[in-house]
Amino acid sequence: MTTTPSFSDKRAGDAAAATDSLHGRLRAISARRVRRDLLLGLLVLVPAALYPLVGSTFHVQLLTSGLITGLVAMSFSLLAGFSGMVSLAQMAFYGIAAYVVAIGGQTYGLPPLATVPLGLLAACLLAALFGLIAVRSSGIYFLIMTLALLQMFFGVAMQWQSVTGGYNGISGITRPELFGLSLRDAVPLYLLTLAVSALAYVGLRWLLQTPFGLSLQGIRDRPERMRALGFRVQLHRWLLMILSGLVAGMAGILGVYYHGVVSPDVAGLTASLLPLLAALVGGVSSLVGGLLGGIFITVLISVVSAQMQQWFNSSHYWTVIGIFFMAVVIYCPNGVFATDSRIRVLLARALGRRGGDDADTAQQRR
Amino acid sequence: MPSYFQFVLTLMNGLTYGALLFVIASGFTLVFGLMRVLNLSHGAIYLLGGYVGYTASTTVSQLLARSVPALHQAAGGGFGWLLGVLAAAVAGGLVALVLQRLIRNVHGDLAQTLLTLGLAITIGDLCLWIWGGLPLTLDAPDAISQPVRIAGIPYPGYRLFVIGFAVLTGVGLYLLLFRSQLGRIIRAGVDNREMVAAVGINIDRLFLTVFILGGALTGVSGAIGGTYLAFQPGTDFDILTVALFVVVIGGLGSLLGSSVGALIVGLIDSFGRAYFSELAIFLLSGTVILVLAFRTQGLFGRAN
Repeated sequence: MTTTPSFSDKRAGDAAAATDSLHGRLRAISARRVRRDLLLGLLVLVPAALYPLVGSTFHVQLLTSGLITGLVAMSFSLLAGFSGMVSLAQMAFYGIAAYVVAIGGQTYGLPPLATVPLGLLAACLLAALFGLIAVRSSGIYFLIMTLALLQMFFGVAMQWQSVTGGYNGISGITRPELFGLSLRDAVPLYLLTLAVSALAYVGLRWLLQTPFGLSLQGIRDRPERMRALGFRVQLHRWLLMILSGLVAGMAGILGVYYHGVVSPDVAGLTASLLPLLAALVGGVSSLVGGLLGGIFITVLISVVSAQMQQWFNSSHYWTVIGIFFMAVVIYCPNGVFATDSRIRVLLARALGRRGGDDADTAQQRR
Repeated sequence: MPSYFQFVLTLMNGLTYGALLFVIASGFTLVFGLMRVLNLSHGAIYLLGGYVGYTASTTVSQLLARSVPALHQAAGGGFGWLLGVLAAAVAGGLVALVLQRLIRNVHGDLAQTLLTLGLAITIGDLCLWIWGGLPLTLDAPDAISQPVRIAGIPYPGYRLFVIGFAVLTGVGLYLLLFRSQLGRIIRAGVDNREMVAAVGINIDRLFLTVFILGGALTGVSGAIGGTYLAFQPGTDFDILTVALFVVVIGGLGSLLGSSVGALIVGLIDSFGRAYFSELAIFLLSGTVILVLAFRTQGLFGRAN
């Protein structure tokens, strides 16, 4: 080192300069992406916020419900897409927040100012408890643990009648006022849901590009290597689980105010299927996909149930939704709009474009 | 002594429920052990078995009572019930066949598991569509429903039959898995499916066999369980829950684990309901959490 100080200094200087310019370029790229995303976000948000001016109350309510499902789907994608943990327990976090708000408001007469933070806290605590048990396993075993935990929640909600109201749950929950606007009207609740969804999305997007978020993705792809590098894999997973519990809890509070009732069914198999389906339709590796998927699924269910009523005079739309779910798993496992989605390939062919390329790449990927 | 009476009755009920749970969970764990597919439609197949068994047994009994009343009298409803159980087995096997065909198109444990969830929802809703929402039970044949005295207490004979059936199933599965050529191949497939395929065994057909066997067993357990426990929409989720608790406590993929787990869950459920009523579910959940906290792989499971 001492014999050729100038050479070594020069090399170090070059390297530093190169790193600096690389960092600069990366920063410029990410700044451009942020600007582009902000613009895109505004292009979606502004029409969405103005929609109630033209849409009917029914459609506004449909969108509200879709966004709530989408929030749960987003909390699912957060775990599945960015940390590889496929959790079936999200509706338990939704459920506990909903129950806390309902019980606090109905049984104890607490104001929403107290019950809403309590509900979010309860969702985080439950996620922390579930996480303690579940993060030690991975893959299919994680899924099994979370399903067992969801079923425990369902069982407690069903059988602890003196607190939860048992099978019938708790009903008659009234919506509070916010900024002088009564959420009893469809539009203010819709705007609130839209704002919460957008904030949650932006917050999670920000979090995923922090060192914490990046190490999570590293853990998803190479848990052993990340562990060897000194990252605390289970701690990361546990924290993410709590965060996803918080997001699902937000959805639970919006949901209990939207429906005005909460029952053990929120943690049942069919209710738990909805956010899964939304996340799958939108693509599990995308957060915004969950939100869009939630809206898509809610609209789909509304259409299917109306058609079933009309054609078969039957209210059994779940048969159709179940088959649709299986079709999505088989034909578009990475989301309806992913490049290997058969629907997209078929659409491309139908529109006369060369769909062969898409099909080829899909084949290669397998 | 009413407390003694209650204790023996609770114990027997727990054993009966545990026996049924063992039959339900053994199909579940068999399929999981070989294919790493968590069959979330397991509860739905149980429910379907109950409904199909109900329809088959009532139809046959009515036909028999109308056409050959003497034979119907003599059999005490046994023919209808037996055919109901058989029909349930066929229904369960058929669903398993369909499921296996669907699953072959999907790659990855998680996607396959999600597919079974879709099937569970579809079957559950179809059952509600066809059979409505009222709770149903099959009529037990007279021959096996006479009360039997146990420790001085009369106990329904049918429930003892359930225990006997579970023991037979357990012995049968043990012989099949550990004393037969098919069992050797299945166990080899659990350990290393690529190797089994490489030595020239048709692994697809093996999977299909096990899947159909598991489905048929589940269908049968639906008819047999449905003869003393009423079933209705929602039973599918309940059964999936307890089956999962059993295999999670006992260890996934282990037959011995299933039997021990089934007894634990059955007894806790029975005693919890009898002595703690509302807190029973906490007792059960607490046990599951405790086992998981100290042994993630369950009591008899191998570390994953």
